[in-house]
Amino acid sequence: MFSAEPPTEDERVLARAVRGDDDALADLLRSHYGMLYKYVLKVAMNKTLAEDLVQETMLRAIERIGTFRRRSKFSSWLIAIATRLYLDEMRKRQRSDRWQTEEQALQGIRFQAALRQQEWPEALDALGELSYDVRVPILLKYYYGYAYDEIAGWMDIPVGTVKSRLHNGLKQLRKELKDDEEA
Amino acid sequence: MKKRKDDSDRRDEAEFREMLGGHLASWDEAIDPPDLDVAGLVREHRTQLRGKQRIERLAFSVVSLLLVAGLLLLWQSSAVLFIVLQALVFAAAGGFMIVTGLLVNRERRGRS
Repeated sequence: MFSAEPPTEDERVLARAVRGDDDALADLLRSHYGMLYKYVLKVAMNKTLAEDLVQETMLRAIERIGTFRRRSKFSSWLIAIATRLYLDEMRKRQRSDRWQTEEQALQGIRFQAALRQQEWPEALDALGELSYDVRVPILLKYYYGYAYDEIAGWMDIPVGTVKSRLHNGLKQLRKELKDDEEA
Repeated sequence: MKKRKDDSDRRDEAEFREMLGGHLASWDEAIDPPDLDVAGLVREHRTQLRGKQRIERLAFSVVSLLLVAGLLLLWQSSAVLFIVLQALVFAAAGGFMIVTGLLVNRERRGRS
C-alpha cells in the first residue's frame, strides 16, 4: 500500500518558495546563507570574492527558483550554482590582469584568523596553494562527500578528469605537508 | 575491480580527513558570515526582475508583430521570395547550431 509521509516544515517552505512566495524564498535563503558562505570561502580562499559570489549565487537562485525540481537538496543546488559562478569568475580573472593574487587573498584570511586569535595551520595553507580547479573537486568530494558525476556535471568536465585532479591534488597536499614537516 | 576502486576511494578520503579534516572543520566553525539582508535582497531583485520581464515581453510583442506583418506583406507580394527567405532562415539556424556545438565541444575538451 502506498502511504505518503506528510511534508516537513522545510519542505513546505521550499514548495512555497518554488511557487513564487517571496517570504518563503527569503526564509529558505536565510537558513542556507551560513552554509553557502562557508563553502564559498573555503573554495575561493578570498573573503571579498566569497562575499561577491555568495550574493551573486543568491541572485541566481532568486531568478531560477521556479526551475528547481527537487531532484537534489536545496543546499546542493546552491552549491552547484556557486561552484559554476566561481569557476567562471576564475576563468575570467585568468584572462584579465585585474587580479588580487591568491597569495594576497590567503594572507587576508590568515590575518583575519590571527585577529580572532585562531590558529591557521600549515595544512590550510597547503589547500590554499592548490590551483582553484583542483581545490574545488577536493573539497566537494572529500569534505562535502559529493559523487564524482555530480562534481563533473557542476565543473563541466569528464568524470575521469575529476578523478585525475583529485589524485594530483592529494599528491600535492601530501608533498606540501611532508616538506613542511621536514623544514 | 570495482571493490578495489572503492577501497582506494575510501583510503584517499581517510587520508584527506587525516591531513585536513580536523583543520577544515575548526575553520568552518570559526567562520562568521557577514550580515546580509536576505529579505531585502529578494524583494529588490524580484522587483527588478518583474520590471525587466515586463520590458522584455513588450519588446518581444512589438518585434513579433513587425516580423509577422513584414512576412505577410512579403507573402502577398511574392510567394517565391517568401519561400527563399524561409529556407535561408532555416539554413542559418542550422549553421548556427552546428558552429555553437563545435565551439562548446572544443571548450570542454580544452578544460579536461
